[in-house]
Amino acid sequence: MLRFFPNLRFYCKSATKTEVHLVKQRVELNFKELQHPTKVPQVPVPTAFPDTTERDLEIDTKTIQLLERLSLVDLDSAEALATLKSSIQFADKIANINTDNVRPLYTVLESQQLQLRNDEVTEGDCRAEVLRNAKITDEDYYVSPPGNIPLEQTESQFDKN
Amino acid sequence: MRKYFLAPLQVRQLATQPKLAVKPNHQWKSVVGLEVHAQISSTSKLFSGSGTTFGAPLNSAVSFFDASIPGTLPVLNRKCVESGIKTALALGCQVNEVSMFDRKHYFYADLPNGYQITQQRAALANNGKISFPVITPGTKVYYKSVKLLQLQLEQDSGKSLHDDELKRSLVDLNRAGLPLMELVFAPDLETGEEAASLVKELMLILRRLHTCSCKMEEGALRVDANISIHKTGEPLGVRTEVKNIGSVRSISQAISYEINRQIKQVAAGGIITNETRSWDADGRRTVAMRDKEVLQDYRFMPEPNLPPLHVNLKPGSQSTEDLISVAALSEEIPELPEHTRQRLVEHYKLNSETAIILVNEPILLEHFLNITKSLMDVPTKVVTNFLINDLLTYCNKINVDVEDCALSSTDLKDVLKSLHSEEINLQAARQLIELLHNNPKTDINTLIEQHNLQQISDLNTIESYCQQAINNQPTAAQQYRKGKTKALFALAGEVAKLSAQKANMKIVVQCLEKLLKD
Repeated sequence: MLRFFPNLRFYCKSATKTEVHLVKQRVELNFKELQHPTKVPQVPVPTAFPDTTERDLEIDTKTIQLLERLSLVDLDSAEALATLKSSIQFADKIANINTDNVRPLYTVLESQQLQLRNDEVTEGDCRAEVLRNAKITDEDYYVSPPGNIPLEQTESQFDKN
Repeated sequence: MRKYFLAPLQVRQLATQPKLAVKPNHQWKSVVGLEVHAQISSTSKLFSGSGTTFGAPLNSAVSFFDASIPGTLPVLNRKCVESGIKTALALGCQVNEVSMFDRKHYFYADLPNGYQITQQRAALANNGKISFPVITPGTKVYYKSVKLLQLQLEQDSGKSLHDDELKRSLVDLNRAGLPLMELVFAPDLETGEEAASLVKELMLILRRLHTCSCKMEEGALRVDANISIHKTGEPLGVRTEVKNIGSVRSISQAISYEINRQIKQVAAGGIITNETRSWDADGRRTVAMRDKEVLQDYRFMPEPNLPPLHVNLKPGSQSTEDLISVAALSEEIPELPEHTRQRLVEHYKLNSETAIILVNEPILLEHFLNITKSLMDVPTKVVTNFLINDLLTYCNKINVDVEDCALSSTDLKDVLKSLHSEEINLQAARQLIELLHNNPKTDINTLIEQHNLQQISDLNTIESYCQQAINNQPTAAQQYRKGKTKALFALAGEVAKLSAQKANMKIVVQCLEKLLKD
């Protein structure tokens, strides 16, 4: 793959040539010989988490309005609201996991060195190409709807649900 | 901005805008905190390899990453990290061994990703301090110290032009992804002047470090101020945030205005709401910004495409390809403004006010150091007086930045040399400033010849001028003889007029005294 994309940018050490070499080596390993080939359980594991999928859930109008604004998804239908509720019920399980004294893991690359780039201009000057993605342009500008217009919000919209 | 230090000018400014001056109000205490966004001087952007030239053609300095094309990923610019660390060190911060990047979500057309990459959980550096002289017209200079809570790296957004008529926004992404350092200061300030002085000092430091151009007019340095008022002994009041402050002078005006507005509002029985206000430089007032009442929910989350940034904190370590050594960078920190002031006071025996003015105008400092190096026998006081009272005043009079003044250190040195050797007098020296500014690179001896500026020190000529002055002003002469010594000034002034400001006043005074005694 490297041969086809010589100008590809790399984002952390694992993608350097030596590492690619290592990956190749690993492919030749016999997985059956490994003591711990994977840590992912191969069969479902029963857990003691309470089932939250049936829990009663009330979402007030303000929260719905906030979610609509943030997600730009219209929740103004019984179906959409039901989907939202069931998503929340499903995800609520996570709140019952005990994470006391567990250091948060933000990324598995935590111990990797973040690769730094020299301060040189290597990209850009491709206006035609980036503007090609825009539906409307004007004199080399992208054209967008004006500002952040708050969605029309009335109480009555939600009453029917 | 540069005229800030000239008290008379500033006072005149305030006199025409009385509503801006803060009346002493002992009942109310104001609390001011600043957030400064400084664009890091770099050739390429923070996470992409596109250029950073100000005023580049529309959407030309935009890479696929800046335009948020799917599949592109951020790569951190090494120089930006180094500049951030240098700035942090100069401000006495503790640099963090591990810092992390986060996404801060906004929904704006000029932020194509829908989020900004910033540092929220673990910033590049924390716990710094800035000490700076506060210059308020009419009061004595005092020093203030403010804590720097956090210094973080983050991307800038693009720019939107709002077209009200056609109800649309025009977006230019050249600025999207430019490297910024955000400096969050503790609310340790009380007045607009203190805030302006902090920013002025910060600008001096950043310029010395070459980490930011500090050109506020280009948006390279932006200041947001959080302002609240409360009564002594009571908890802090609700704060408002003032944005869009475009110059150092505006900082002090905007904050003074906002403090007064809040006091008036509360005094009239109103309440202060937590809102973002914008400084209207033309109307000299702050105005509420629309659609900001809703509490923003930024939904911070760790940036999954960037592993944590590690730096080497070991003393004596050296930087490697991907690991920057803080110790190695600390070696590169130049002399900071406050150190220069101390050196001027100790080594050149200047008073601290003079040292502050020289350091705050880097070009004046450069002139001063160059002149004193080559003119060892001229007292430093004469040099500083000439630079501050004559050069700076002239530049302000013709409304030109001292930096843009055509006079070189050599020109100034020549003028001072002639002045010191009494070849010319102060009037002629002032005239030479103007002549040299308008005829750059002219030899000053030629100018003196051409414009006949030599000082008249010939005793006989002066005596005849003096005799003439006494004849012209017999009352003044009589008053002087009766013991009113001040009357001599009137006579000396007459001589100056008669000699077209060219007589050597030292000799004139001696001569007048002698003539009047006889």
